Order: sequence, then C-alpha cells, then structure tokens
Amino acid sequence: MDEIRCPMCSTLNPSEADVCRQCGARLKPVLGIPTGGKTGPLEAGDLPPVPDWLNRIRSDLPGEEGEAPASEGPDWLGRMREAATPGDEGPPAGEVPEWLKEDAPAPDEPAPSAPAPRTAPPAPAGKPAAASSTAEPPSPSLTPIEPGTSKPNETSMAGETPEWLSRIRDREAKARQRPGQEPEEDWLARFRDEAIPSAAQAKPDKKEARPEPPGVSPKPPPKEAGPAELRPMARPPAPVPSRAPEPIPAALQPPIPETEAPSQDLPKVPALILDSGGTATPGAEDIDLESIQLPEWMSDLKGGGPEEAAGERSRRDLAPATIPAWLEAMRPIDTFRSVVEIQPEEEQSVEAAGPLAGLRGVLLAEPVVAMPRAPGMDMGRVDVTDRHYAQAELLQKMLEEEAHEAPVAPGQRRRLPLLRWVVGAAVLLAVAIPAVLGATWFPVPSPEQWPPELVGFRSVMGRIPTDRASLLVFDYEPGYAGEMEAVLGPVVDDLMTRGIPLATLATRPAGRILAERILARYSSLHGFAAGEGFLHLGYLPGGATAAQAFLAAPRQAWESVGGAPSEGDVWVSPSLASIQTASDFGAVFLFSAGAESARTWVEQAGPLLDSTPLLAVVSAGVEPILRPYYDSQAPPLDAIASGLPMALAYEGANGRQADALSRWNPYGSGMLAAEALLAGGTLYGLAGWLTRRRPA
Amino acid sequence: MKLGAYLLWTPVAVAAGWTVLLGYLLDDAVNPLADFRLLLLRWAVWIAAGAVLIGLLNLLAVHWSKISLLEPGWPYSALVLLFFLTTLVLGIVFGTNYPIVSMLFQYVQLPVEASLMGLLAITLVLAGVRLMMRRRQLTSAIFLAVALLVLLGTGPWLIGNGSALQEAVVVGQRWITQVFAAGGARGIVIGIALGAITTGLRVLLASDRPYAD
Amino acid sequence: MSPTLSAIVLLLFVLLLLGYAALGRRRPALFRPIPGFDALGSAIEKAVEAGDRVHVSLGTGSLLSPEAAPALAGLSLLSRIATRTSMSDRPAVVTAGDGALVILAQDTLRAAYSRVGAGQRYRHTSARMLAPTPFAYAATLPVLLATENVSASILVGSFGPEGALAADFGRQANSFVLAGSDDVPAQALMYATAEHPLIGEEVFAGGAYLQLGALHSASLRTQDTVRLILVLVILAATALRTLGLVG
Repeated sequence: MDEIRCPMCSTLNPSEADVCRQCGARLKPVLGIPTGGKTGPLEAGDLPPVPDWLNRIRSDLPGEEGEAPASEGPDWLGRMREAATPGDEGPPAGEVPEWLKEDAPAPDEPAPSAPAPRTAPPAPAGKPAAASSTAEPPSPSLTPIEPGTSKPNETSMAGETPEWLSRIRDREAKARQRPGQEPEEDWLARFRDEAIPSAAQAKPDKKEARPEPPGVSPKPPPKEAGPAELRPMARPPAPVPSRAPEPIPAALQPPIPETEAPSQDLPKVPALILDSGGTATPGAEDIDLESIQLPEWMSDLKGGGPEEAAGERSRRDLAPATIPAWLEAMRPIDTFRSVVEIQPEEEQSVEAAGPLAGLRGVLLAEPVVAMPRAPGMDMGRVDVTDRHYAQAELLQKMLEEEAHEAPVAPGQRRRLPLLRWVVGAAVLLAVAIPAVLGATWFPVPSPEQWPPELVGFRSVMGRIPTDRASLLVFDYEPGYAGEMEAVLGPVVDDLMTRGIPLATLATRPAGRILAERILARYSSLHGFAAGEGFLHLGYLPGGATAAQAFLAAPRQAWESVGGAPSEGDVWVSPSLASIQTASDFGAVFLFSAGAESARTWVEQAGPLLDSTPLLAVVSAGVEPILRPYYDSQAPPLDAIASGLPMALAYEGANGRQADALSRWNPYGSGMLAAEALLAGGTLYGLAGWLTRRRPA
Repeated sequence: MKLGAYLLWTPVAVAAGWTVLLGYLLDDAVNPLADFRLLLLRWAVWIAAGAVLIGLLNLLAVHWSKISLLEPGWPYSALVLLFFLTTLVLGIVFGTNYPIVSMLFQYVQLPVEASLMGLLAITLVLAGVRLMMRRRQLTSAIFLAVALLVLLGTGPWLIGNGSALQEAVVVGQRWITQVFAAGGARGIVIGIALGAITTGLRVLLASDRPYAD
Repeated sequence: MSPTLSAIVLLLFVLLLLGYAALGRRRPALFRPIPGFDALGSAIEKAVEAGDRVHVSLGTGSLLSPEAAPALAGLSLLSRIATRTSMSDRPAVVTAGDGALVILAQDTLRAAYSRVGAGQRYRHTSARMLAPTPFAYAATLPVLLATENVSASILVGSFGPEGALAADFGRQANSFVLAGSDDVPAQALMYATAEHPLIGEEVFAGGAYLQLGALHSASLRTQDTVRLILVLVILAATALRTLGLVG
C-alpha cells in the first residue's frame, strides 16, 4: 500500500508524505517509532507501550478484541490486566487516591459501604468455599477469566514490572501451580486466586455481577468467621436482607435486569475498592496495608479477629478521618482517574485505529460519561426506616390504585329543585284557577276605597288642552306589558274619551310596538285614526341624553337621529305643528317601569315643562322612588298612578271595566299564595334557627 | 393601546366630558360652547344608535363563533342567529309595522318576556321562603316581615276591604312604603348619586380610562 | 338645583377628591368590611384554580345615561379581575346589554391583558352583548353560565328587576354571586336572590376595596364628606322649617 490515509480528513496521501496534502495534518508521528521499516498504518506490534488503562479500555471495546495489542513495553499495569478481572484492578499503593487514603472508613467502623453490586454475595452456608469457586460453572454474574490467556507477556516484561507487582504475580503464579493450597498468611490472596478462574471464563461476556436489589445490602461476613468465609463471595448472588426484616415494597425496587447489566459492553474501569474476584489489591506482605484503610470486617478478617483490631485501634492516637455514609455513597467511583499520572509524551501510546491512528497521546475515544461508573448512591446502604416503609406502602398502594381502572363514579346527583317546583306550582295554580274559573272571590273596592291619587290624576287630566297633542313616553320593556297596560289602559281610554290628540315616543327599541299595541286597542273604541288622533314619533335612542335633547328641542332631536322614516313627516300634523319645545305639548305622560329612567325623565323634564303637566304611570316598584317628586311642594310631577288597585279604580271611574277587573281575582289569589308561602318559609326558618341554637 | 393613541384619546374624552358638563352648568347665553355641546349631544345619540348596531354585530360574531367551533350550546346559537337574521331582514325590507314583524313581537317576544316576569315573581317568593334558611339574621327577619306587611296591604282580602284589621294593615303598609321605604330609597338614591358623581369625575379627571390604558 | 349651586357642588367634589387623593398617600383610609368584596378575591382564585370562568356583567343600562355610572365602576372592577384571571385557562367573560359598554369592555380587557404581557390571550368575543333588552339579557344568561363553566358572577352595573333573575341564575349554577345596581327596587330584589348583594352606593366602592388607585379611595372619602354635609343641611333645614323660620 503506497498511500496513507489522512487520519483527519481521510484523504489518501503518498506514503512518503509527512503531512496531508488536503488538510495539512501530520501523517506520521513526530516521535521516532520503531516501525520496522513498515509503511502504512501502524500495526499493533509496532506500537509503543500503551498505558494499561487505555489498553484495557481498548481491549474491552466490543469488536476490538484481539485488535488491541498486548503491551510488551514497560506496561506493568497493562500486563496486570491479563491476570485480573477488569473490575478488580487498581493502581499501586503509591497511587491510591488521596481521598481514599484519608476518607476510607476507619477500621473500627462497620463496612456497610462495601459496594454491593461489585462484591459477590456470600454463598449459601455449608458449602465448601474452595469447591464452590472451582467446581461450579461460571456464574453469569461474574466475569471469569481463562487463566491460560492471561499471561502471554508476563515474563518478558518482568524487568519493567514494579517490584510490588512482581511479587503479586509470583504469588499468583505459585497459587496457580498448586491449586487447592491456600496461603495461610494471606486470605486475600487466596480469595483472589479463587476468583481468577471464574472471572477469566466470563471475560468474553464481560458480565458483571448482577446488582442487588436496592434496600438489600450485602451481609458482611461475621466477625468470627475466618478468611475462608469470603470464598462464597464469588458465587452467584444470594441477596440477604441487611436490616429489613420485612420485604421491601416492590414499588421501591428498581427493575432487575434479567440477564446482565446494560453497561456490559462498555469498557470496564476498575475501582480501587475490592471487586468481585479482585486481585489488584496488593498482598498484605507486599504492601503496607496500614496505608490502605480497609473496611472493618475486612480488617477483622485480615487481622484474625476483633481482638486484634481492637488492639490496633488502641494503638492509634487519633481516629482517622471519616466521612458520613451518605457522603461516601455519593462519591464518584471514577474519581481515581484524576490520579492517573500523565505519562511523558514519548511513553504515551499511539492511537492504533480510527481517524487518529498514528497519533500519540490522543484523548480517550470514549467520553467520560460513557465510562462505567458506580452508582452515585450506594443503594445497598439505604437506611430504611419505618417511615420509609410507611411511605413505600403508601406509594405502592397509590401505584396499585393507578393500575386499576377506577369505576366510573356516578355523576353528582342533581337534586331536584322540589321547593322551587312547589313554590312555582302554588303560585301558578293560585293565579290560574280563578282566571279559568272566573271566580270572584275578592270583592271589588268601592269608590270610597279608591286610592286618593286617583282624584288628583283625573283632576290633572281635566286640565289638558285638546288643541295640541299630548306626549306619551313609552319607557318600559315588553316584560312589563302585563302590569303597565293594566294601569295605562284606563288612562289612554280617558285621554281618548276627552278627545286629546296623542303623540307617542319610545325610549326603548320595543316601545314603538308597545305603543301601537295599546293605542290600536282603544282607538277602535273611540274612532281615533292613526295619523290624526294619534301618531308615533318612533324610537329615540340615547337614553337620558336623548331625553334631555328631546325636551330641549323636540324637532331637532328627532331629526338628528333621522326621525322615524316609516312614520313620515309627523311634524306637519296639525296636532304637532305648533310644537317647538316640550312645554308646547298639552301634557307629558311618562309610562315607565324603570326607576332610574323615570327619575331621569322627571328631573330633566320638570324644569323645562313650565305649566305643562307631567303625569306618570309607573310600575308599582317604581312608585316609591317617584313619590317624593309628587308629594313635594311645587312638585315636578303633577300626578302619579301605579298598581292594580289604582287601575281598577280608574276603570271604575271611566265606567269601562277592562283588564284590571279581569285580573283582580287572580291577582288577589296569587298575592295570598305568596303571603302564605313567605309566612311558612319564615316560620320554618325561624324554627330551624331556634332548634339549632338550643343545643349550643 | 399605544402611547400615541393614549395621548390623543384621553384629552378628547376629557374635553368632551367637561364641555357637556359646563354646558349644563352655564347658561347657553353666556356659554361659548353651547352649540358645541348640543352637537356633542346629538353625536352621542348617533353613537348610541351606532352602539346598538355594534352590539348586534358583536352578538352575531359571538354566536357565529360558537357555531363554527361547535362549542357547547351551539344549537341555541344557531336558533338565535336564525331568528336574528329573519327579523332583521323583515324589519329592513318591510319595516317595523309589517304584520309579520308585529306578530313576531306579539307572539314571541312579548310572551317570553312576560313569562320571565312571572318567573321573577316565583323566584322572589322562593327567595323569600329560603331567605330565613340561608341568612339567619335579624335583617332577614325584618325584610320578610316588611314584605309580608306590604303584600297584605297592597293585595285584596278575601273578607273584603273595609275591615278594621285591613285598614290597620293598609295604614301600616302606607307608612312603610311612603315613609320608611321612600325615605330610605331617597337616601340610597342620594348615595348612588354621590357615587355616580365621583365615578364620573374620575373619568373626567382621566383617572379611569376605560377607553384607553 | 340652580346651575350656580350645581357648579359649587361640583367644585366642592373636585377639590375634595383631589385633596383626599393627596392625603391618602400619607394617611390611608380605613374602610368598613363589605362581605361581598372580602369574598371576591378568594372566589376569583378558586375560579382560576378550577379552570372556570369569571363572569362580569355590566348591566342592562345604557352608556349614555346616568345608568352608566355603575357600569363604569364595573369596568374598574373588570380591569382588576381581567388582570388576575389573565393566566387562567378560561379568561373572564364580560356581558352587557349595551353595545357601547361592550366596546369599552373590550378595550378594558385588551388593556388589562397587555399590562400583564398576555395580550395574545385577548379575544374580542370575551366581551359580549347578550341581548338588547333587559329580560332577553336575563333569559340568555343561563345558557352562558352553563356553557362557559362560570363559577363566579360579578354583576356590577345598572340592572332592573332582571338583575334579581340574573343573580338567581348564578346561584342555581352554584356560582359565587356578587350583585349590585343603582336601581333601588333592583337592590331590594337582589338582596333576596344574590349571595352577596351590594346595597346603595356599595356598587361604586369596588375600586377602593380592590385598591385600584388613590382616587378610588378618595372617592369614598369624598362621598362620605359630602354625605355628612348633606345630612347636616337636611337637619338644619328641617329644624328651620319646623320652627317656621323659613317658608
């Protein structure tokens, strides 16, 4: 191959080129790498020694097994990988992270922080430890390593191996040569030896120990147990509840992977903490174990029992610094990366694959976030209290409730408005029965019993001139037609009887039709013709503002709104020809059912009408509002009429019984029903009030 | 509203209000703005008529929106639009004196509104019945007692008018309606007038600007 | 009342209003509790929390009449209510019986939403003219209350007897009902049907109780002061006339 592909832009360059012709990137390493005269991409055997962590990562990458060369340089750690499972390596004692040295649990502390997922749980009791680690098939949760595959370059690189590691390897070699023999002085080494075969077998799969369910912490070996008791740690996990006598609610348990951890294919970064089958921990005779703070239970095992540990504690003047368990659990396990020393450039490895192949000292291809790491919180050390259990049960209950389909709750029962129906029915029947039957249950008032306002009203009516029109202002809504027509009917009847020409003005949109309705009814009785005896000015929008404008200048105000096109030019009518101001009308009648509008008309019209009388026919509810205008001295209101009794009296005075008489009995019956209902409701409420107050 | 519009409309509104108010307070003979005041009043009438049309257009838009979005109650909106357009076309084409328009009023609007008045009567009776159960206060008791007295004094009696008891009740009713009720109503009206004046003044002082903000 | 006397009274009003507005910054006024306004805030909050609408009615009166005064007071309330409900799923809905009032209500809503930065939530159909006549207005209300999920009805405007029906419809819909009118008979009817009736000039006090500005508080103080003056004048005139000192 005479061309070199640029690692940066993949452009093919001549093999002799030093830099890429396309991008200028260097094609050959600057350092003199003994390539053996080969050209082209560097091969594995040509590569300089690679740091073990990088080798390890590369070798563990899926699809790259076999590609990563076994380091033959002074890579003591790289070779160490061959003899250990990926998860149990660690730097030499001198490279123990500072935080671990300082913050490791004191020997006298319990060791609940032993990482459960990485520590194989103890085997079932009664099973021989040695046999369990060798005779049993490799556990799917372990990472067995084939012993024979783990030492291809072990001896050739011995000269560059640190002394302490050499001792470890020697001891391992001896242990492999005489399986079954257990060094009596170092239980840890024994444990390591037992873990190696199973871990080596599992290496192709790189399976890790299945994490224990949260809430279940590994049960530390009993203090009285000897080192051999650790053998079962290599067995399949057998979770033992650490402190929970009752099962953890399922809601709190994370889903347990059925086969293996999701991160199995990722490169495994060893932790300093003893992992399953770990061998990286230096032997007790090689390393000053005092410099490594082991968990108490391990210290006990190492030292032979609690007595020795107690004696050791007694020799310390100061207790080692400790950190809280919760903080310990939060410690990122990959912190050890910070202590990996950056090697000199000439010792850094050359990238063997990928676009950066050939370059030295490249950064890790894998982002840090992709590196396996221990969980931020050691789930095995959750302190489960009764309160937690209660909350967990509550949560589980809630989740179970969520899982069930809730029955469709019946809608809120709509209470039947019985009282409303009863009241409505009582009032309606009270009004309807006399109307249908034509009953005369209520005597008609005699003239002596007529309202005193009638006399004054009729007196004013007698003074109205007949040579000019009187203005009728219709200021009520159709809803009031029943009440208003009963009262103003006799008034209109009286006006027509007296031959007074009429002009109607509507201040509400429906007023024009209401006026037509009442005038048409009585005009036929008196021979009044539309346009002669009466005429309509139409609807005047604008409320009180329009009223003020109309009273000041009727014609201008009427014309300003365009008049009433359907009525024609009403002002040429003889009855209206002389009208220039409101005071030119013969009289002004206000038919109103609105208190405010009636008050406005009275207050606005009063000063402008001079001697022209102002008469009001109003709803019974408005009468108290207008009465002060009628009762005062120099009243702006000359007469007032309201209510069915007044209408009945007026009909009597006219000598023509009409609506008022026909409504008298239904009116009386309805009033009686209302009085009875009100009295009953009041008494019921009072009774309830009193009976409730009595117990208090 | 943008700043420019705000600066324009507020002085216009305030000036129009003060012009009409001063026109009422000053005699037209000495009021240089008398004609302008009358002009504004006529404009107001026009604007009121226009506002009715705008309100009807708003009514149309709201119900059309409900129909197009099929919101709850859209069939009612469809009925409203149907009768609205029918009446509008009939009124414009034939005028309000057209018999069909009169019939619509006579046999639809009038009965509906009259029935609402009847419903109001029933509602008031029902509210009175419930009042002592909902609001157990002395004022409620007084309210109901006065209502009963006025009803008795206003309506006819089965035993006929003229009895001593009926006369006493009528006298009591007139005292209540023409003295206490009228006096109280007058006091309330004065209070409302005071409130209306201050509310109007806030508008004239541009403190309340419902037309712009 | 003669124009001169009217001008004097008007001038008195203006001076008192401005004076109390200036005084109010140093000595805030204390108002007696009005149950309706006390409960209004929580009712609005409940409606917003429940995703219901708040309904503000400006009455059936016309803008071009004295009936406009309570409607203007209602617009002041609407400004505050619209601000507080602008973030609700269902903003406030305003109804009136007069087209001109609907236009003002639309302006008030638009301004309130813009003030809180929610201008895009404004819909011109939020302010509606239900019907041109009072009883037609009342007849339309139940449909509105049912279809718009209204849980609070604030009726502040000029109502006639139809106001009692409107309040009763709100009560039937289990809504909070605050009702006030300038019409005295309507107030009597609302007293029986509304949950929280506003009596007399209480209908104008909403701005002061909701702290809409110094002039709103000054308005109440001005009303009280003028009312006190009127009481004294009436008592003096009655005494003088009783004694025969004046004709």
